[in-house]
Amino acid sequence: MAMTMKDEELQNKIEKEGSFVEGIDGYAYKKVFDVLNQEPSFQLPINFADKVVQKIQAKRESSTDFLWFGVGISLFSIATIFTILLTNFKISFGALKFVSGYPGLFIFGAGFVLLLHWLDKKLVRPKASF
Amino acid sequence: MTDDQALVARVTSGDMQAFRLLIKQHERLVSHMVGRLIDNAEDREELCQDVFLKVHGKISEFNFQSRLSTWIATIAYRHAVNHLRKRKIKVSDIPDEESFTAHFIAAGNPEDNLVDEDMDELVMKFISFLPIQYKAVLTLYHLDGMSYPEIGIATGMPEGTVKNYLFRARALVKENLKKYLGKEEWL
Repeated sequence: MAMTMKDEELQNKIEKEGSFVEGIDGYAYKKVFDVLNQEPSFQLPINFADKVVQKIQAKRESSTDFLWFGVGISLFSIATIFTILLTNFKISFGALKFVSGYPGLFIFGAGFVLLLHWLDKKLVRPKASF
Repeated sequence: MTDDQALVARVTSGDMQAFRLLIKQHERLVSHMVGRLIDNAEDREELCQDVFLKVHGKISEFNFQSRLSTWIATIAYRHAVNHLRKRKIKVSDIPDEESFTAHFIAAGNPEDNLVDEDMDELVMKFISFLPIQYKAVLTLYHLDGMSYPEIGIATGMPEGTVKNYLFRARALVKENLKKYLGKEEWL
């Protein structure tokens, strides 16, 4: 639809004068302008600004927590390396060698843990109220 | 130093009270843009929050080339468009003028004897069917009182396009509304 001069004139007239313009086009334009100038139904809650500020503060705190977690991991790693160097510690799998002689026991243990989990999921959790 | 400059300086220095004030001053602008471009009511508040989080994160980059409200409107517009793109809602350029106009005007189904509230709702419905570029221009002009150049900055459109979209959008809605108007209501 090409904008006609009549349309442009009507829009300008209603916008400038805000008055009623004769004819169906004028009436329809007046309605359109009235609705366009109405405040929409969607409104933000009164505490919107507080919510945003809380989000920013929570973000800052979580980034600080992450920083301290990183510092902690780094210090722990340094301490571990120093301890290994100072005590001449050597990693041994001696205790695990014992299990290699009893593969059935190992399989039973793993199966038993899985069975307990399954029973817990099927029987205990559905009855528990949280 | 203008009010905008003073406020931005305070926010940049970490004054959260100043940022609260900035939100209060511009939440209507953001809610207008998001409210009109995004149909899903559940997404709207969260999107408005995201807009202000982005404003807070980027405020040190604001260079006062435009008013603060225009810059915030730019962020709100782009954020809403990106959200629609993520939801696979088409936000491409305005479709071919003639075919779109024919389709838009043919979409209505006139009813008799509309009362005033119905007519307001009807106009709102027609506005919601418009392409988002039209809705953005209408919103910034009618609800936020922005000038053509300011709308151009906020939406990235040339000033002539802004003016054209504004007039065309109003004409399209008017044409559709005309079909619903009983003759007795305007004679």
